[in-house]
Amino acid sequence: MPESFQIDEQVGDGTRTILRVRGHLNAATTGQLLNHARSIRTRGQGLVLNLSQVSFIASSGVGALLALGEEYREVGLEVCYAELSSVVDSVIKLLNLDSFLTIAATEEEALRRAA
Amino acid sequence: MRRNEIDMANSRSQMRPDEGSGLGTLGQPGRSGPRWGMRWIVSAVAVGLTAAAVLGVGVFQERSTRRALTDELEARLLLEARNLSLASSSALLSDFPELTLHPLLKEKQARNPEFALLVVVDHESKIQGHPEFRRLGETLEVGGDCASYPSTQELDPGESFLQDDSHLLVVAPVEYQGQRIGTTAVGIERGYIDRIIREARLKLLVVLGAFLGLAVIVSFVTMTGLLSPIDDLRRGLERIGRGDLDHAIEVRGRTELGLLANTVNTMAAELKVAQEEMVEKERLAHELDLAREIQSRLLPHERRVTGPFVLDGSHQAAFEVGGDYYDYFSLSGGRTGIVVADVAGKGLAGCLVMSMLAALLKAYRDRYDSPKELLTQLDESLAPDLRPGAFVTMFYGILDESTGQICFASAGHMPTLVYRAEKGEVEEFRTRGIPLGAVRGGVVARTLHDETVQLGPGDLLIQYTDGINETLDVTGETQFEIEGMRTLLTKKSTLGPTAILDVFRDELETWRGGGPRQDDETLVALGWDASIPLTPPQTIPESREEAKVVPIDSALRPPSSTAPESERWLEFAEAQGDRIVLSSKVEAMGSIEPWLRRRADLEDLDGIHFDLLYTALYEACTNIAEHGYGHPNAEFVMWWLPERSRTNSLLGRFVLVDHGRAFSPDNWTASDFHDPMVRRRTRGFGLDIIHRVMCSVNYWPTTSRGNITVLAFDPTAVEIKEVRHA
Repeated sequence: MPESFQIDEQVGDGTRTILRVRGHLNAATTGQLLNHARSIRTRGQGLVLNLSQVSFIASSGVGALLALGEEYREVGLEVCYAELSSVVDSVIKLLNLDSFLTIAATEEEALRRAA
Repeated sequence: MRRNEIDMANSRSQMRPDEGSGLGTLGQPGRSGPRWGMRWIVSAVAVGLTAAAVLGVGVFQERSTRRALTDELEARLLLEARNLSLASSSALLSDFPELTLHPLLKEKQARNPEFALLVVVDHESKIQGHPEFRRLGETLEVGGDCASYPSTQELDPGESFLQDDSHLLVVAPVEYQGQRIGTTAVGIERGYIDRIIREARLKLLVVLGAFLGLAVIVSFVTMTGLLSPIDDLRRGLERIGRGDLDHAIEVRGRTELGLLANTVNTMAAELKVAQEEMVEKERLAHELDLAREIQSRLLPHERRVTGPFVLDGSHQAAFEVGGDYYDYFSLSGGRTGIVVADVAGKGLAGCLVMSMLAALLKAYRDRYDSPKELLTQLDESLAPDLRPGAFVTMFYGILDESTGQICFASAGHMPTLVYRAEKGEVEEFRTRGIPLGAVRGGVVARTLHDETVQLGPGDLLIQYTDGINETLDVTGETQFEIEGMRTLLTKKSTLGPTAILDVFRDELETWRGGGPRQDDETLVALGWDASIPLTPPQTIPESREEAKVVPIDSALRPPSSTAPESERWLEFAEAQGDRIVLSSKVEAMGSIEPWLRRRADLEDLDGIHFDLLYTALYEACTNIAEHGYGHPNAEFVMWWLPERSRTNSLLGRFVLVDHGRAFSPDNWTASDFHDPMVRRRTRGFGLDIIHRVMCSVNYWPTTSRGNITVLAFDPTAVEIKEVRHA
């Protein structure tokens, strides 16, 4: 049984909110992530997406990560993807998406980048 | 306020104030303004006419009555005056005339109260006779302050008619032996006549009122009776208006309204027929649109360029959708298949046969290297489903892109025309094959033959349907004929295949004189560009998909047999593979991972490649579940066929078979992530993952065993770049 999908919201540095995602990121769960991330965008907050606990990412999950980056960029905000799990890391490497995503090794690094 | 006049008439017992005048509005949407009820209009007209008639008669009669009354009164006054003079003569000669005259006049006035004046005076103008005793002996100048009154009565000497403001009187002399001894005067008040006239007028008004009331009642009752069928008409029309065209209006009464009802019933019946015809026409039009869409989807929309060869086609539909079909497609081994077909019969039926033909062609085209064999197979598959009399003429050719040689067979189709650049002339190639489905029992196969045509640089081949050569000119008598095509080809072939299509289209348009097409016009042109060298023969003819990707370092092949390659892979997987049965719901894909982990031969696979393999298989299976089936109640199977490469590294193939809706992997192109629109679309990256993880992706849709997918996996061929951190 796949572990349940969870999103934990953490206060970042005042300008960014941290979302920690856990579980499978597939067609059934990406909508939840997109909605949550979009609500943060409407508050004018940047986003740090901690993906260390993502145990599986399907193409729809990849699509969600790309779309979020574009949507934030359009309004002058940024999404930083931090602590990619090995699964996420493998798929991003496979598709050569690193040039389209802002990736940080740790949450702190992501926040420092924001500062 | 919206209200129907008839409703108003029906509900007259509950009239509103304005209804008393018959004012109302008809309940027709979009029409407002006052409306008058017919019953009220007729009643009002009847009342008006009656009133006018009675009043007219009354006025005329009043004038006549006044004249007659006046004449009668004058005559009576004169008579009374004369009688009184006669009666007074002897009395005036007596010593006390008043004793005789006073009772006489008193009695006369009692009998005739309308006489306002009765008086007898003697020759000294003293009143000797008067109804009132106290007036006796007074001096009275009879008629002294009166004016003459113009009477039509004949008067004797001494008599006169006089009048003042309030009286009319007659004065007559009282004579004895020719001597005037006195004067009598008889008068009435002038208002007497007016009172009589007024009384007569009152009677007239009473009569008038009675007539008016009667007129209203009679006209209203009559109109109600006459117009009562309108209610039936209204109800019937409302039902018809709501679409109940079967409703027949039954009208009571034998007036013109009955005729109107019959007319409405006839109209409703005709409307129903017209409506049914219209619905049928719309349905046919819809089917025709569907047929056109199906036809359009089946035809290629781009020209094909392979090496020096350019293939292009055009299809000009007639008003009625036809059964023309053409296609060109890649075959294994550097070959191109070309098909032009014409289904006998138009409309949806022809289009459906065309669709069947296209599906069968897709299923079989990779199996046969011989056009004759393919046509034979199509005849065997198609003929049982064709209605008697239906058939398909078809050309099928295979171009070898490395030699320019075309092997073709024709099932009763139009001759192939080839323009020879070297000679500047057109050659015609005919075969004796009969149309597919024309004759049952394998007869068609015996008439088919493979023919070979060698093209040369600059040559141009055309294939077409009979809509081209049978195009009629403006007179409708002369066809364009193959000879016309040859002439055109001779003149214009050097323009190339795409331009020649335009030339033919324009030339046929001119030939028709701008008239409509009688049939679909389909033309396929294959040209050899002399400036481009031939493509060398390919050495990996396994399948066109495999030719596109990195060849797997594998010796694994399914055993040879006459079966198509896809089915051979499936049989091989069924015999030797390790399988998992998946239900067609996305949640079931989680079982792929534990299944993979249980495979001993995958134990050595590192975590990254395992994750990517699982992700790719997840995407492939999810595609089948979501897009192939679209419901969770089906199952499909995936096999794993492991092996070792020549360097002893892990290799393998995953074979999937499903019976869901086929899709077209040929349409897939790698996602361009540099495009922001691509990055925003959130979905559609599954095939990117599959193609990047698998070194070979083969997909055979709608085989006799279902849709078969073969994915070749070689971990060493998966390219993974290092991720650049911010």
